[in-house]
Amino acid sequence: MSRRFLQTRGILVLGCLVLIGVFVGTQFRIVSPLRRTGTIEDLANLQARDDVNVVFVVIDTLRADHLGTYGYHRDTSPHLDELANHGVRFSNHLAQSSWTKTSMASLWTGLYPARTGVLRYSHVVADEARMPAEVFHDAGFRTAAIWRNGWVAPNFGFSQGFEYYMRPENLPLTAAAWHENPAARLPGSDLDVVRSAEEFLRTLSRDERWFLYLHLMDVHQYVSDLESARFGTSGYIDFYDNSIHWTDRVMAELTRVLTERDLLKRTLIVIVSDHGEAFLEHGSEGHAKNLYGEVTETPFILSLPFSLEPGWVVDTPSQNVDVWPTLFDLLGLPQPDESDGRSLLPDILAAASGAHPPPDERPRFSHLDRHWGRTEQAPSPTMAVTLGQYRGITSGAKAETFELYDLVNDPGESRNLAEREPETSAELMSKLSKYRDESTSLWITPEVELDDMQLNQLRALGYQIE
Amino acid sequence: MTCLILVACSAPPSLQAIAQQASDGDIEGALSRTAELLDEDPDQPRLQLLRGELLYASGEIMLATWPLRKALTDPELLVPAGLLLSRILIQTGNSDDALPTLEVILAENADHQAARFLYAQALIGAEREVDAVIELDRLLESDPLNLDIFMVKLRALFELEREDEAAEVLAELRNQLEGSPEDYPEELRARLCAVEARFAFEREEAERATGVIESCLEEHPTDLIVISEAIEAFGRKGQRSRILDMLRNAYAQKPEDASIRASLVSQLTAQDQLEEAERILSDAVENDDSGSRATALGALYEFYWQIGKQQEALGALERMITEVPEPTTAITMQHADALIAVGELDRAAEVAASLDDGYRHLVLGRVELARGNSKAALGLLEEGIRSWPDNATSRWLAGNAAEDLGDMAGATNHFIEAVRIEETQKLRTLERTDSAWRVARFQAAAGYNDGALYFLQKHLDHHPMDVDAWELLARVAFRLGARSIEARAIRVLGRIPGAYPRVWTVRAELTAERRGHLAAAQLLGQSRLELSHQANLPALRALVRHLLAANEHAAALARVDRALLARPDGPDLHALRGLVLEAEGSADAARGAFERGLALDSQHTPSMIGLARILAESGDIADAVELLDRAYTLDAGSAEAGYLAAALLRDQGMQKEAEERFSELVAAHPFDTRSAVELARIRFSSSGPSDMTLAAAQRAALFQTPDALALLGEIQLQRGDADAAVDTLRRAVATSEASALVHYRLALALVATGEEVDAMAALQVALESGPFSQSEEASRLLARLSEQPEDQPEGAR
Repeated sequence: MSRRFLQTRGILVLGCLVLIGVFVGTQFRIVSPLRRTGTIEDLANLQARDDVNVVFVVIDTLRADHLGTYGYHRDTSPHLDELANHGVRFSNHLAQSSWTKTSMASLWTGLYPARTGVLRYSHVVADEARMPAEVFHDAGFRTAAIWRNGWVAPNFGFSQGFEYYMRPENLPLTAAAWHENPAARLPGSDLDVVRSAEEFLRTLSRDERWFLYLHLMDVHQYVSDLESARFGTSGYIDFYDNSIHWTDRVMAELTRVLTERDLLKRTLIVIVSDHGEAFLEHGSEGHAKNLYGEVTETPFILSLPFSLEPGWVVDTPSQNVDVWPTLFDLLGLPQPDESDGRSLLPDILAAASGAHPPPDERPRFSHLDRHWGRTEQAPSPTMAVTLGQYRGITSGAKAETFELYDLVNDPGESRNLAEREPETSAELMSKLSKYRDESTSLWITPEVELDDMQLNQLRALGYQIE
Repeated sequence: MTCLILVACSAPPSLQAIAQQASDGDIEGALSRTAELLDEDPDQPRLQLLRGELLYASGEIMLATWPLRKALTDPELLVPAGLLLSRILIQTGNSDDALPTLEVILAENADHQAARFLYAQALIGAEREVDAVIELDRLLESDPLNLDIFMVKLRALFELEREDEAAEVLAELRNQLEGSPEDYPEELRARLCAVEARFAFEREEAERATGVIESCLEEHPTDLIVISEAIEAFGRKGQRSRILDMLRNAYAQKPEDASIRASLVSQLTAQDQLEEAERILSDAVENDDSGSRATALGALYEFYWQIGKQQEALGALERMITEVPEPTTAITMQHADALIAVGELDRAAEVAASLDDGYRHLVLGRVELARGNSKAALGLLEEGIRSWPDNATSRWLAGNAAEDLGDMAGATNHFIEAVRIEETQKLRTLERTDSAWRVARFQAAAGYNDGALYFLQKHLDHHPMDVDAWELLARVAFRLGARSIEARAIRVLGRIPGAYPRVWTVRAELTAERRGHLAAAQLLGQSRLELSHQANLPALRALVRHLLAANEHAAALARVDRALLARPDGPDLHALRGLVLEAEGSADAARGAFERGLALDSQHTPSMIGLARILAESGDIADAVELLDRAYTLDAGSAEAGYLAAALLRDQGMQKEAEERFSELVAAHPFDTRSAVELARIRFSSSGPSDMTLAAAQRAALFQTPDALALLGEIQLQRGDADAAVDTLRRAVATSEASALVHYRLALALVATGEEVDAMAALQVALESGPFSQSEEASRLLARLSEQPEDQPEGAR
């Protein structure tokens, strides 16, 4: 019993927690979004408006079913729920991978992973890719990114089109820097992303339009403060939910920043995620290991420059490759030449008018090379196709295994129906074969060598890289 | 602050006022003012520059980059904004981003030395050291005596592995210093000296490195960089006494320097010269002025705590508290920790009263745990953890409390979290709990071998001499078929002093699993261990155990007798002889052997347990139980005597007393699966499939033994939870030891869930396993199921 609560580093941790507590206590304020109520016409008119800005928020590692607005039993996300309840929520949305880099490459380009070619840790998004920030830049927008996940670092090709592409922290601060400025503080949570965003907005002229990409990481790292640690601490799920609540409050802070600058009525807020998180549903924890629903079913929420009373829910199956075609359509910006996604604007309009959405029988693909972190080993792909109420998953270089799940009757994907339902299996296997055989990268995928420091930073996120 | 003054000099009045406000110390106020003004009109580059400088001064260095970038839009501000922005980018590892701005500055002003120097540093950061050296040489042409430039060049040359050139630079620097030492501060000269020593060492010139460091010490005996380099240099050569001499000399020259003092105390402690360390720290407490006395007392407290003098540590801490105007939460927590450590629990609770809820709950939880109130402790600790989730010690304490309550799953959960926190915080070994070991032990017992392997490896990373852990690792690796890990564990075990006999017991145990007990006995026979030696008793016990399991009673007896010839007065050997005689059915002779063991050592528990078994066999239950109770009191660390006593009472129909005893055993020996199963059985027979019975059975089934799973399955079936029963009984039959009865129970559960085809298969397995108590019922059920047509719809049945 001679242990101490305060080990050497524990003292620092305590200090940090107290500081965060005080800081949060003074920083978070509840702000009612001040926007007028909008209509379908307002939505259609967005294209013609010349004052709309975009905040594109990627909440890393956020699975949809842990948000209140997606039916979660815990009150993890009151603010995001509020945005969804007065905006547009896509109820059946999928990410294209369970690993950040592959997923983000698809999200930005609107192409499936096999077509971006970004499947392993050394892969880079090719210069030829037409990235949304380039489109915004060409359209006269100021473009800035504030990110905290090393997998979207500029050396992986994700900074294309951004005027500023900054990480609010980049450890470690050199000894010389401390010597020069002992007060130097390196930010350490998503709140710093929002504060940095506020500082960026403070530099913009009144008439400038802007596109701001914020990549939040605290859910990935299970970070929360005292106030948000409200769902217990008895296991990973509790920590995860606490961190969602913390991030929800960070999002409320972002809303406050926009509201106080009178920008909310001129800003489209987009909330997406790159992948979900597993809690032993299929034998593993974390992500980037398989493609079941817990790691691929993510949220997609739009908060428009006006409030919807009530919000619209789009039940059409959607996916991350649809996100940018939809946003370009909404904003009247040019669509990319190549896309595996499509604009969901017709589906939004249908949801708004209460009409049945147009039928959508597209297969939706997700893809992961399970050897993404092992340079010495051959690819070990796993691919999933979701079509109607079924999901089929193949694994292995030659698709040696196949699993089939009925997502309506078995949403937890616990009963493999591959043998019991041979016709459905054959249909989905055929779709996957076609995807595998016919989808090739549009470009020669560049590769980058990472130095030890970069590798260690990525390892520090919990990734296994050999 | 110089920057702010510069801005103020050439700025409009409002800017001057803000800069003055900052210069007066109100940086927060000045920042608020700039924010207000910029929110009204962001297109004010000078104000943006001022805000960037203020943010930098306040420590918000990354936030400062935004206004500085905006300030760059004014060509007049290119230099001040660009230089500060570049400096921040270089400092934060974003040198690539700094290069374009610096190139613009240099394009307009090629002679700007500060910009060029930053540019060279940015080039190094961007891994363009060759270009950096060119830039640095250009700088040195115009400023040949600038030591800072030389040092950066030295760094670039090291990075490029151009050692000869680096040596030339060093020589040149040395010449300059010797030529005009008055031009350079001592700190810089000491730094260069330490660099020279390090450089010699890197070039594998060990003798020269030592020579250089000796001369550095002569010239700069109290310089911390030199001292640090010298500790490393002498340490590499094993010159521990030289380290102490050097530090004593430094301390004598500069006794007021807390860093030198801490370094000396640390080395003295490491070299077990505790009296001198204590004297130095005590002197510092008496001699330091009041401003630094608290720091000295804090150091004394840490020292006492580290060497285990907790009462003295508490004394130092309480003196320290009187020196600080308002103890922080951290100090109060330390105080409570120290009070608990010395057993002053009431005072610890009083101290905790001043803490916020979360921290108070943790302290009070710990107090309750020390008082033995595990339930109250767990509640308080879990409440506290909510506020402070990444405190490993709290998790560990909660795990202990849960384990005390028999909640192994809950305990393991807390221990896993503790490990996770320790890993995340990269705590040093001394700061870590034994949580990884606790998890591994539980998971190995429960059959979760993958998990056990993971946590064992984590534990062994920090406890490489833990014999028990290496032994368990060998077993777990065996179960997983990981032969290389198994071999490594045994190899390492063999190298740990005193653990050699255990290598053989483990190897024998694994051999028995692979090739049978006789092969295991043969292996031990070949070990060349002197089995009569007391230190090798575990190996002799293992040999006897394997021989008995192989029905080689005579050989076992011969082995024990041979050992007795060498050590006739060894009570352990007599007890072992009794065991062999008992196994071959010679009860009287066995009794004699156990009694001989007790005669040699009246407190010899193996002899007591053996004798009790013989007494019980002869019907003398009361004496047997009394003897077992004595044995358990003497050796409460082992459940054996307690279990046997409880089992005897159970067999005598004293269910209530047996239940109480098994319940106590489960709490005291969480890994004793037999007691857990017996407790569940007794409850099942006395109160049927009640909630309490189910809880006891679930607790027993944590370890996945076939009898525990079979019992749990039966209870679940009787409670009407057929799905759970099928799941549990399937796990039971998956073990190789499942009896015919377990297969039969599985069949009953499968019938209840409507899986009749699987039920028939289970019945066939049960009946093929040989007759059992319910063979007839099983046959009738199989016949009935076989009569029903297979394709009959479920609803028709």
